[in-house]
Amino acid sequence: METLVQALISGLVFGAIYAIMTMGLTLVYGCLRTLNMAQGAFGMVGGYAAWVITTDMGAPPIVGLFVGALAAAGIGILTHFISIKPLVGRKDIDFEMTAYISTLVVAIMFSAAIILLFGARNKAIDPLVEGRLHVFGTVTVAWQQVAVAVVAFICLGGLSLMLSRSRQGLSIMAVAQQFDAAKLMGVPAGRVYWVTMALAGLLGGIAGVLLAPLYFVSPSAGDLPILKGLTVAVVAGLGSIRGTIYAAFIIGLIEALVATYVGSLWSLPVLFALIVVFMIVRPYGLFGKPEEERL
Amino acid sequence: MSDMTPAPAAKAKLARTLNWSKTPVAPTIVVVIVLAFIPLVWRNDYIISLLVLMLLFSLMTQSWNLTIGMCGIWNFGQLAIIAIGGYATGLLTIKLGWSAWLALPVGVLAGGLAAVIMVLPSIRLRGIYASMLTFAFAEVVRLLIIADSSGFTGGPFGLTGVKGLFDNLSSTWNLRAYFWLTLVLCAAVMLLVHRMMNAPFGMGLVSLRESIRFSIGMGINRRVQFIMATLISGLIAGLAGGLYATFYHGITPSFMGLGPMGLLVIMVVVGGLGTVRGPIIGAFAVTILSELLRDTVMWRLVVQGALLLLVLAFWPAGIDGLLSRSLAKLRVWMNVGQGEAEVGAEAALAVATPAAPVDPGPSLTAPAAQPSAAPAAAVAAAEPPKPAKKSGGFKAWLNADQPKADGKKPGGSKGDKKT
Repeated sequence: METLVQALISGLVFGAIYAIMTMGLTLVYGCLRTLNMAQGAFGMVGGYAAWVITTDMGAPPIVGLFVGALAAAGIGILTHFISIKPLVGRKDIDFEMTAYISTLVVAIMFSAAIILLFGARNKAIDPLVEGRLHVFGTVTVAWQQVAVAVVAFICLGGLSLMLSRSRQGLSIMAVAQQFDAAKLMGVPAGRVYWVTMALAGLLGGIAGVLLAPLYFVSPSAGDLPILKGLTVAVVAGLGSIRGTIYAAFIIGLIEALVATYVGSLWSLPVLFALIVVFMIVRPYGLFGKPEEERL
Repeated sequence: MSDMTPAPAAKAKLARTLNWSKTPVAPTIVVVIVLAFIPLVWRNDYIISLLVLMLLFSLMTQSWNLTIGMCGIWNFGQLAIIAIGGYATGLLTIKLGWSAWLALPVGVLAGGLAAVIMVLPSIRLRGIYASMLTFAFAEVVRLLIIADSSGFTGGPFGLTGVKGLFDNLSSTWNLRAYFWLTLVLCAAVMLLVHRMMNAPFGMGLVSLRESIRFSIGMGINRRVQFIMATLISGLIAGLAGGLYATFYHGITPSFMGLGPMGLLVIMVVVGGLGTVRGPIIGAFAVTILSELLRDTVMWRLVVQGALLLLVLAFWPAGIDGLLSRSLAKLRVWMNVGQGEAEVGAEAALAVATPAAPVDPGPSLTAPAAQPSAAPAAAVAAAEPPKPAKKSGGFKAWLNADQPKADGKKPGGSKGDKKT
């Protein structure tokens, strides 16, 4: 019973991180039709920025969170202008595959650049809050995990408010739903593109800073998150915001349960095996649109 | 023009218009023989080992290009297939004490089998979903090998002590033997791929890539075609992996990481995605570039990445596309003023070629028919109008190496896929 509760809690926490991480992927896919392979690198850069500001300069962790998020947003904009913008609207290329390749290569370039700047060693970073919270019996939760969940939920809430209320958010939704109609209504698509990328960078940076104390800050810190993010995005059905949240928590829970009861070594292989089966049964994800699924 | 019966000459012309060019066996053999003298003339072991590495890379890129470039299967797990070929070969020589010559064919088969297993579930999926599945497959293979602590695969440190193919030779002759072997295999694979892509089977693959609906309508069996192509790609990948493992006497799981994958992507795209020569050109160009940047190891990836972004932005058809475009331009320039139909047909293709990237129309039907009256007449003279138009497009496409020039692509798709 107590192990189960422990597993469920850690599943929920990871689900929350996956949700904000994948939300970046979903927004970018919905808006730009690009599967942004650099999303993990945004988190990695955010982690490094937070490390610089907290460990090197001695700022409090919460400042690290903000600085990391902003740095990652900047990297998101940079990624848009060097790897996606030159490809938009070109007739002589397969946009989706080319953008996939160029963002993948940008991600690799970012980790190479980080190694150049900071070396390949792992960096430890202080958690936002120290200590553990005793829930009942032997079940304890690190305050960091509580903070992660809280921050993640604040982000998701803020995002949904922004997408449904603010002018920028509405124009993002408009471009994602009907590109041509949005353009005809005077939505500035070019600006919406980079704003979306900045937003994706922001979310990825927050996820990266939140994950950093649980793992380490390292040049390859983005590889596993992007893999998980891809999994979540594909299970959700690419571009579906509601699906992303469901899928993130489902996958977080499955992973935590497998790690607890089978062994953490098996959590990824089992997860992927499940996903292969899932994709065969439902090739367009939980909330994807069936007409989009296969050719 | 009025004569519709396929006379031998017209038939040959049709074959040429469809670009069913003959496999260049004789020129390739000549080139191979000439290249084979390199290690005897340039007696530098380092250079020879570098050349072997390039040839191994071109085998790998060739195998990958077959799925991702030729058929448009979003296969991002090819490195795992290569590694499976390498591990199978290595494990057989280490654990069972087989000779490398016996283990290599088994590694080849293992690669083919693994490729089919990997691609089978993703055939039904749309591009990005398939990329996810194959990517995940590769990652699972890598993580399982890294996590293996039983000592069977050597875990994160990889296999060591794999037997080589020419262990009883001196190190210089070993290198030379590897060079000759990989050179011959590379040429053979290139000829095989060329033959395949110029046969109806390969045309089917290209047509599936360009429009699945159209191809299925034409009666092309997508499943069989994709599985066959994947199998062949997997066999080549297994061969490359097995050769790699025996040449370096080992293989590590980091071989499947993101870094090597980025390197292969850069090679394929810089060389020219979906062309026969492209992957080889790319493998050589990128390896030479890496060697030039050898002293600044970490800048290497940044520079190569920047190179890829530049190529994508300015010459999406890669170096190969650039080469054939300038060749076509040269041909137009040389043919100016000659009025024969033969030359006219050539010019039609050459004129269509540079026009293709600008032309927004679907290249499957447009370019050859549009440019000017004379070439159009030349094409019409050869064939009844419809197939000629289509094949002209194909020819233009194949020559321009403009793989993605038809209508279903980005600008348009951005809007209409959104509904």
